[in-house]
Amino acid sequence: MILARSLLPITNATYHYSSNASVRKNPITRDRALNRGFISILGAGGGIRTHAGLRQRILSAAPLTWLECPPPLTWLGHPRRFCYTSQAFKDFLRERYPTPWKSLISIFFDNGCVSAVIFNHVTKRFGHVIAVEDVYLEIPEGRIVVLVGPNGAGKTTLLRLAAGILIPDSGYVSVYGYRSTDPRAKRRVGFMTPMDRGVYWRISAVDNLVFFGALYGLSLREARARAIELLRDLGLGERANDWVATYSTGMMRRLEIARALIHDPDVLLLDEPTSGIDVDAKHDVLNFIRSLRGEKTIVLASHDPQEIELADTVIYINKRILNEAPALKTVKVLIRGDVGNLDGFNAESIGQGEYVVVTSIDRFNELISRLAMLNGRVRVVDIDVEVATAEGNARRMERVMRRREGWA
Amino acid sequence: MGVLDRVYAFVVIRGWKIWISYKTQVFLTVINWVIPVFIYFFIGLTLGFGKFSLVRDYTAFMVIGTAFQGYFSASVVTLAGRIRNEELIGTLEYLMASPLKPMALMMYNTIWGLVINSMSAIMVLAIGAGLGVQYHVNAASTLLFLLLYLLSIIGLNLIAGAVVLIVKQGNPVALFTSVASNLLGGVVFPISILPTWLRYISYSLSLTWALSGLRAAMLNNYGIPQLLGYLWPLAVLTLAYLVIGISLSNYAFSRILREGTVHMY
Repeated sequence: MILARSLLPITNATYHYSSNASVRKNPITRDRALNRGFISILGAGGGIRTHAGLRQRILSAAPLTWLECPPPLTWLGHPRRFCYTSQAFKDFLRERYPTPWKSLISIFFDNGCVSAVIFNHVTKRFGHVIAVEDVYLEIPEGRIVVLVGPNGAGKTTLLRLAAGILIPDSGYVSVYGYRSTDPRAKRRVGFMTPMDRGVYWRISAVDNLVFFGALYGLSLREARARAIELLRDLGLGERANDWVATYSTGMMRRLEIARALIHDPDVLLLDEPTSGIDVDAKHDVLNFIRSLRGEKTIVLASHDPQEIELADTVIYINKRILNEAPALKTVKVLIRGDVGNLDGFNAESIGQGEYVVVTSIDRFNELISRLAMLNGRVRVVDIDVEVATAEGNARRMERVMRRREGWA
Repeated sequence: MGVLDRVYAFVVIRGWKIWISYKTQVFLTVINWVIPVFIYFFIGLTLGFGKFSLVRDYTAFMVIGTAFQGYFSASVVTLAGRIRNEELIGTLEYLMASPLKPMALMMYNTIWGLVINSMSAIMVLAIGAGLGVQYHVNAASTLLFLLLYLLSIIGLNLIAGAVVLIVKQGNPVALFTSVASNLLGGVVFPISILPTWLRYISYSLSLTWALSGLRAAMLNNYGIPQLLGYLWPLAVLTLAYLVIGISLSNYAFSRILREGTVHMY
């Protein structure tokens, strides 16, 4: 029996909180569909059944869909529910079946959606303290994902798990199909935590980078060339041969980012990359990270609104993933002049001939085009981008869930 | 190629360049290598150890002992100290995040300790030559003993490094090797003068057998067949140290990854 609730775009208004325990236990499944505005197909038993035609529609609409696993795979030990197009499923098949089948698996299941990092129901405790609990998260290739949440929420723990320097108590983390502790996964990951530690102070920045490059299998010549290029890109070119001990905090932070990038990783894990540095240095570092958009998959743990602004997706975490939302960027445009008619946009007067227009980033280009059509009657004075909406929504959602589920 | 590049990175960039950046420490370390040789030389002259029936040429005996003792005591301290240092400056986390397997990481870290102690050994042997020690070296047996001895040192390094990974501070293995090498290893006096129960402890040290073999190979030109009595205990101890060291290191690495203490110090 097909229990497809809806194939229509879902909005908050149509969101129905399921009474089904297994669905409730995994908010990410529900929220992913919800927030992407794609689809949600929820079976009463927690599983999902589908047929070929429906499946095709699902796959074309949603990159991630929970389906019920057919019996032959459950006999082999696969979990009953799985994400049909997910890397987790492909990982499972690749692990289970020998090499000749791998290319066939790729043909059938690599349908254009590649997850760079997967946290597959990961739980990690430190003694009696739960750091993260049953986290399921797929991070698509090339995206910038920002983890937000209060102190002790498990953001850094997730980064350490993905970097392979921490082993989960249950579940697993995979990077491009390999367990995060596997050297093949580690080769594809660059990792950085901001502690003014993690580099050798009494040798030069170049030597530091060459050393770490050699660990990742670069030849000394390659590592040196890459080190010089990175240091130049990060504005440290002139100080490349100075002892790191003579660096300022901002320079140190840039060097740490360079160290994470020395082996040209596909995935970059950054923990508060601009903490403790001044405005100019922060601007440079953020611009550099912004320049990596699309080239690298970046997972960033942060409290900083400017860092969160980089996000394609904001994930609010507090032990569990509470909300995954596209970064809802709001643009405030301050304009001066005769606004006239701005169809679909609300221009609010703030006096002295100045107006503020608030819109979403998706409609920003439309607004600018509209302003351009006013033939110079208005001038754009300032543009401000905010992403607080996503985190704010997540915090509100956490409060609601606490009330509903009686969280401690 | 990758291995050589990594050896260069660990030995030259991280070992040598950082070591020589502390100039006072370099000076004091070299003094520390040299002074004991002269101290024991003058004690030997004063007390007439050259006539002592157990040791025919005390200076030669002491020079070989002092030259190779460093591997046993200092290199163990070097690796454990290195790991401790990496914990403190926060680089251990990044070394662990690299694709190097834990055991390879330990091995690369060990190399610097062996290099610096080789420098010490060469310097002491050269001073010995200056003090009149006549070397009659059998290359094959010297190299074989040296190889086994260094392997046993790697085993001890792994044990000491594993302990530091787990306990972070306070390394009983380093303390033991330091005391044992000075007192029980037959470095500056023959173990035959030790009380019987202490002698049995000294037999469990690779240093004891290695020094006996190296003295015979380097001073008396003894070949391998003549040194089998020293060779097999050294081989057995080396194997034991390596097996214990590798097992303990693997356990230590998996434990710190499980407990999440890689970044702690």
